[in-house]
Amino acid sequence: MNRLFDETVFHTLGAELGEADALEVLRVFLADTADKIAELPANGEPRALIKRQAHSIKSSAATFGFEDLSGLARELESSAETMTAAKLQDCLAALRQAFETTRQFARANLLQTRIGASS
Amino acid sequence: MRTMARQTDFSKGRLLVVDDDLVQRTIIGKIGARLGYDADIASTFEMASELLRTSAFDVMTLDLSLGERDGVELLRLIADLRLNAMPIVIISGCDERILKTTMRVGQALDLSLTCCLTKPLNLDHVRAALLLPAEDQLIPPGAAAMPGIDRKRILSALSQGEFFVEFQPKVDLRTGRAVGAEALARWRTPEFGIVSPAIFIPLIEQSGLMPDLTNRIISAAIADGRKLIAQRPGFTIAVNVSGSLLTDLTLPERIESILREEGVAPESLIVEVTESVAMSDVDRAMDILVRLRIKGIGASIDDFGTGFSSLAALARLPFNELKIDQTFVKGCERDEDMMRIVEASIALARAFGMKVTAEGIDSPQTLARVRQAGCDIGQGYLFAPSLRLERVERWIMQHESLIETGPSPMFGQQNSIEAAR
Repeated sequence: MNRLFDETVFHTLGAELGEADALEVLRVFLADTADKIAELPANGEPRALIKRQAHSIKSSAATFGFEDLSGLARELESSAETMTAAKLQDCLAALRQAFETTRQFARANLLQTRIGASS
Repeated sequence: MRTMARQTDFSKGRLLVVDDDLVQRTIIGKIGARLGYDADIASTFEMASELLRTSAFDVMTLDLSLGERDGVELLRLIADLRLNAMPIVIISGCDERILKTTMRVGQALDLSLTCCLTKPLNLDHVRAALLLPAEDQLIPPGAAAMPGIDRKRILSALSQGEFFVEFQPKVDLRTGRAVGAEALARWRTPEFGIVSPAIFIPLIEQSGLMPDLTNRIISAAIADGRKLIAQRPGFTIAVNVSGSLLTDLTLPERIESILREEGVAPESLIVEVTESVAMSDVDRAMDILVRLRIKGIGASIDDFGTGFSSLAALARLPFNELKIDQTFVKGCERDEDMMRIVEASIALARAFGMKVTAEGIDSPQTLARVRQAGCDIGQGYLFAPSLRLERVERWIMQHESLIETGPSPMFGQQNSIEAAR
């Protein structure tokens, strides 16, 4: 079962990069993913674009331990080109929602409580 | 384009990060900076190609997906720029088969691909890949073409006796004993020293002088190899004959005549047929090979799996040995795709009642795997490279005495493998 956030993955990133750099990369991720989500076509076409964006979100989200978001992106990447239009719209809505939840969680629990609080 | 300065007092040099994903390239650049690299970050093919043309890098990470372009195009550019020595770490979210094929593309281009990392990135693996010392590079840079070698120069080399043979031992994988040796053509020139066969064989094919070289090498192999054969019952000498030469109907008689002059039994000779050039006339090839076989001479299909018509040749020509090409054998224990080819080749050989030789055995792990798969004979640097006659004699004697005194470290698992068969 998916979870919103795997803390051990984020701690590994912090250990590898140092806390300041890990938070900088997290901010990059939130801004970049917001752009990618905004670029997702509202009408569900072209699907190749959706697949490409989902592929990227899947990998990046997993790097930070954002499991729900990564899992939904993985599903979208693997089935975007074959699923029905209605199912695609459901998946896109779920992805947007998961990103919003992830962003609020990150701002409240990761960026606000550490060195990055000032930004 | 962005740069990240190293975060250390020392410098490990310059790192080029090529990735179209902002988050991934930021993470890789930061890991590099913490390790002591000054990192240049490129997000597109165009940026990367500009940097590669204008600056020197000590290591590069390359994401295979670059938006509209892809990383394989960049690998070709790197080869064109002759940056063969620069270590390249491949990074991709693509499936494993695409990654493996990319590694093979890199090998074909003679590039120094050090490893493949999959997304999501394991940060430990990224760090380890960027710390890989230069000596761990998997693929050495290639040799440059030799200038000034034309037909006239090759004719002069033939008349001056510049070509000679070396022997690479063939080892029975069941007993560990040396059971034969492949004679390999070598060329020593006054102006270039030893010229690689990878360079001179294509030149000789193009110049039309392959029959002359083949005659010279067969004579030298039988004359030199006679001593090896005389002392060891069942020992064979193998010589290479290009498939393109199997149109000369006098070849069986010429070989028989050399064998008679040197007092060598036909059963001691194996003719290995390579198919780097397609056989022009299969009916003639059948005629020649069947007469060689009737005379008692062995026939082996060489470099199996890489030729123009390996399967057709296998079905129609009377080979009694199949040599699996080294490109499938080297590292087969780490590459399931290659292992499938090795196992299928063995099954094919068995179906035709042929012996199987694995070329390119360079490590104990590869040896263990091909033995387990059921190969009969092995050849490769793990046993010995090609050696001059005196050295190969010494190698065989030392090898035999090791076998006499007990199982060698290489064949330590012999009993358990035989039990598993």
